[in-house]
Amino acid sequence: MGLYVFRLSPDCDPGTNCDAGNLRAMHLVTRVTRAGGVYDNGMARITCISHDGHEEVVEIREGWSLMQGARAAGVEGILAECGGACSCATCHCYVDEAWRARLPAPTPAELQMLENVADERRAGSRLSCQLRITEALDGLRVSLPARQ
Amino acid sequence: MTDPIVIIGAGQAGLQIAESLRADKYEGAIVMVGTEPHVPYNRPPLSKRWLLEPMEFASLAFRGPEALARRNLDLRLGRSALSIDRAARSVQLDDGSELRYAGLAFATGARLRPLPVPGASLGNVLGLRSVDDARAIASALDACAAAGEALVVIGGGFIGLEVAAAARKRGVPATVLEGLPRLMSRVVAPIVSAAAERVHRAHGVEFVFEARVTGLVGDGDGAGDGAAGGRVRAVRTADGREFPAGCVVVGIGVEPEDGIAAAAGIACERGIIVDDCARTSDPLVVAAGDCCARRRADGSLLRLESVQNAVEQGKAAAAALLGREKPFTAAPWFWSDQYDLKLQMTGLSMGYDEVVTRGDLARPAFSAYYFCAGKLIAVDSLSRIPDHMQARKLLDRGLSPTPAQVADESFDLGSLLRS
Repeated sequence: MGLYVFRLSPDCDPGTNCDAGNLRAMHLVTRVTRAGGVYDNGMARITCISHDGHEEVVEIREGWSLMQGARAAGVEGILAECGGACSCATCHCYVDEAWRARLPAPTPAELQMLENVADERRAGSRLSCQLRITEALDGLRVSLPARQ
Repeated sequence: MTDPIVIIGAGQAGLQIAESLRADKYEGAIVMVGTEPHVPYNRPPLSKRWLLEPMEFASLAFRGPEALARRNLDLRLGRSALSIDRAARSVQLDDGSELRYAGLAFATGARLRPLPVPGASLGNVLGLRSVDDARAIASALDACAAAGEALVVIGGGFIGLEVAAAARKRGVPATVLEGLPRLMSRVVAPIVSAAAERVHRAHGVEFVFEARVTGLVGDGDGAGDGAAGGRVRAVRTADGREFPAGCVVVGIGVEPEDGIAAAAGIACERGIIVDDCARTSDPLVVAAGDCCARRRADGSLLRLESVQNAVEQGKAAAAALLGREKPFTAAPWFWSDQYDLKLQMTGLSMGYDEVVTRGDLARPAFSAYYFCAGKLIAVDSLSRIPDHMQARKLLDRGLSPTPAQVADESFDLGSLLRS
């Protein structure tokens, strides 16, 4: 099973349960899942945010695509029906604004598929099968659309 | 305790059934029986990108161990179902155990059609279905590259052409022997076959059409098959020619794995017969994926070998096991990657009486639109991704441009979707 990381709710009342280390309120629950494989190279921790705001952290090894890692971790909201061939547009994600410029630009094929995503296409829209993981992407945050 | 739902088959369709059951809040036990020793994995890359650049198995698996554990599945891997007893509602496995079921799903897939000639079991005569098959082909191609030997592909369909492309990328000479007069003839129109052939020839692949393979010749001292025959060294055809080969890949199609279902008296005809909701002739039994033949509204049977079919029929099968109807009738779609050529197909072109193209046939970057009695029934696209995505929407909504509108490149076919 994944490691569960519980964070304090911002409205936790200091001096009561929180001070005692008893994490009473769990406003935001983040699950960390290793995507699989042997981490002989580097890896990156990627935060995937579901359309209803649930955050999940996935550890993905270098060389995999973001889609492969999210799929292996069982992240809901990534279908990837074609398995990473840039043929189905069902691994659509929205890259957090701060990260967009740090990613390689989409290829013409990816841009064409992005014109056909099921949900809204936005400025940060990418196909996660085309985003190759490097250690430099450690900390990347992506949101997932409601529909693929 | 109630009996589990048993899924025979641990491929894409089997996993889809299991995950859809969980997504639909089924909390009972699920047993999944898989013949291969591997957790469910993604097969399409095996003949495409993965064959060019093999990575570790984990990169192919649909789910890593932690995610799989969360699904709470009882996985019996490396095990085969031998028979089912519908009266007793049980499945017999090859380890002698018996599983009782409350509901049963067949997701048994398909097996390679064997090549019915002498020498078919010589060393380095390979087919491609599993990750282990793909590993064998990748290492055989590496060996051919090192020894300066050639690949001979028997069958000019998708798998054969994808393997030929992978061989050329490694610098291995490749010859494709096809029994019919053109490539991928079961699926695409002559104009698409011709374009694909040109691309392959430009990459150095040689083709022999209407070739009748009569036997494979080994380097061993014994005649014929097996260890005595040794490793393949050539393929012989009926016209007396001999094609030297360090490796032979046979891609002549697959047969549905419907033997257990048929033996148990479930209606089968070149596949387990299912309705749009993936239900078989037994109300407790569903089936999904390559093993199925779907009865269509016009009474005909349709067997598809595709990811979309495994996924959508898998969802339908899970719903049916829970007593719900989730029919799968969407327009089929498929794809193939060969070099930089992206071939995407949607609909079924069988029975077309008119084909109209859009785009550049020479490059090639075009789409072929198939019509029957003036109605659009299928579209094949070569490196024309937007056409393909648009065509899927048109077909799903039952919309059809006229042949004249397709022929007029200034006409925006997308306008039909917006009206």
